[in-house]
Amino acid sequence: MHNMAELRDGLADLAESVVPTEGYEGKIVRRADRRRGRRRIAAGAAAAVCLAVLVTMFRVVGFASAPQLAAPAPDGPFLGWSPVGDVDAGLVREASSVWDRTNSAGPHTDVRALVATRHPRLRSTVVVLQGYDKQGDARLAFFTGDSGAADALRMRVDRPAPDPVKTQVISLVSPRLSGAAGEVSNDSWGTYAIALAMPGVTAVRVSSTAVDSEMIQEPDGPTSRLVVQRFPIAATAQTTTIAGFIKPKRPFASVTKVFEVPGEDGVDGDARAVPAEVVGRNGQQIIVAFPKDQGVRQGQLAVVAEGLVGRVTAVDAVRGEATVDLITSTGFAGQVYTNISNVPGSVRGTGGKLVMEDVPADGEVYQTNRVLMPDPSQQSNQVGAVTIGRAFADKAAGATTVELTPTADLANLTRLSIMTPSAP
Amino acid sequence: MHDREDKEVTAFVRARYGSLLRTAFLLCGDRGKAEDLVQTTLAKTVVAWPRLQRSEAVDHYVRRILVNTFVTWRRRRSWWEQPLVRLVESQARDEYVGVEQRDLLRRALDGLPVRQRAAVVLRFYEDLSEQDTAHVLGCSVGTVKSLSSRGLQTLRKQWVEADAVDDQEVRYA
Repeated sequence: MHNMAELRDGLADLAESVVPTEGYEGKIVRRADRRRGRRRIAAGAAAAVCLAVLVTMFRVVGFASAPQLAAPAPDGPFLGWSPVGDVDAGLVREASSVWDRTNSAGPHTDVRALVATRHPRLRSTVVVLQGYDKQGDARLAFFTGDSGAADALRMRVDRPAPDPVKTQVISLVSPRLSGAAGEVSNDSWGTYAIALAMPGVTAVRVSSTAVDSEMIQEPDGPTSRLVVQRFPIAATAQTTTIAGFIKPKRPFASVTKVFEVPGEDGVDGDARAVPAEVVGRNGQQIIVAFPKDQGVRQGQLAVVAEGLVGRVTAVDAVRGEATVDLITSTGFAGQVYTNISNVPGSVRGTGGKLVMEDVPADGEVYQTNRVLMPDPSQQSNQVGAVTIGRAFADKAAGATTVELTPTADLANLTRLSIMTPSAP
Repeated sequence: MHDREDKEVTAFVRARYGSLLRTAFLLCGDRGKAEDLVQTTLAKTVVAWPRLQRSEAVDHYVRRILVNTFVTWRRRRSWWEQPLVRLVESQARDEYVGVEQRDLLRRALDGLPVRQRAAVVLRFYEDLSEQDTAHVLGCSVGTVKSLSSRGLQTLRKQWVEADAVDDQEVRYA
């Protein structure tokens, strides 16, 4: 084989000797059938594995559709929620008795408990009851213990029963939940928030803008539908926010927020928040509309959850409208103090900015320090004091003024609350 | 529909079986294994037939399966007996020179690495162009040139060695 032609001839010659044997078609068909069968089995196995992987991924990793909170069926006009934890029958009897005695609406019938337990954070008992009063109206009442009377139960609020279909959380925020009826706590951290979420909610977060250090419950942490949170005495229902979360029982499943609502008040002696809607803006003032006959007066504070908006300067009781001077307006002034160190001073709007003046030269005010303005509708300068702003910068040594940054977003106001005294 | 396909594929198998068997024999050097190789190749073709009908290059596809299956099998040592040492045996004198030549060529082909052997068979038995051979082998034209060249070089070398043995055997006879 010394050239290509020889090689070609040699290969052809070598291959020529090979001749097919009989019956090869049948063998090929059988092999093809076996191959098809193996391929089907492999495809089936692969599909099963893919399906298993997908199902596992959906179940384990939590890529399922967003979980929904299913509302329990209403119990007539009442919330059809199951009670939280073990219900102490003795507490329910005691609370029912207190409920019947406290006002003239008793005796109450068909009383059912949502909560009747002793809560460690309140260091007292918490009872929430639903029932009909003697007029046949569905009512809801909160009870807590009186620390000054051997934890005897006191009724704190008696409200109409909330919408049994739409309600996702009920709450009570007040500095009057640990002592005698209507008595403000002596503790500087004496405001309590009690929140009870509907069944299915796996975590509840109660937060207040009156707290500098964020005290937010970890939504992934162990908790229950009942949360009792302690806040500074300046905290009110208006500065408290309650959020509910649900988390599917799957590892790595994400937490979904299902509601976020402001706290509710209503304890005897608490200032009342009159809801108002912003209907106009006039330079440094806003015009708000509110329900008539709510006791809105000149000098009352207009607030949102983040802090102070301004002060009512004029009221048109006939139209149900009020004029509010914004805190940055030139007409706004008032006494304030810092949340930390209690450094006093006065604030004044400059037409765009907010300045704290008359600060003692040796008073220490540092950047982001919270500055509070007493609410004239509250019992004292400390209770329900509203955050007006935070120090823009550290106060220079010897200086008596410091600029503040308002905490409320004054440029985007749609709704606010006007704080009125307890008795209209 | 299926009957028509069956007829077509049966006709294709009958038409190509012989030529494929000869190519397979040149590739693997054993009749039994060559039949096994061709039947496997055609079984794969039968399974893929509905898809292949839309393609014009069925022959290319079949040839490529044949070579790939051959290369894959050779890599599986369990299927292919590998000689532990090269057996140098003296050539039995055959009165039929053609038979001797075929035997020499078969032994020389057996000595080639698998891809060189495939390149040589495709280029010089199937008469494929370098481009087509590259397509069947799944490599570049340059690689085909290299494989063919080295394959031919090895064949020539073995051929010369065989001639030398013949000469010596004649000289000492």
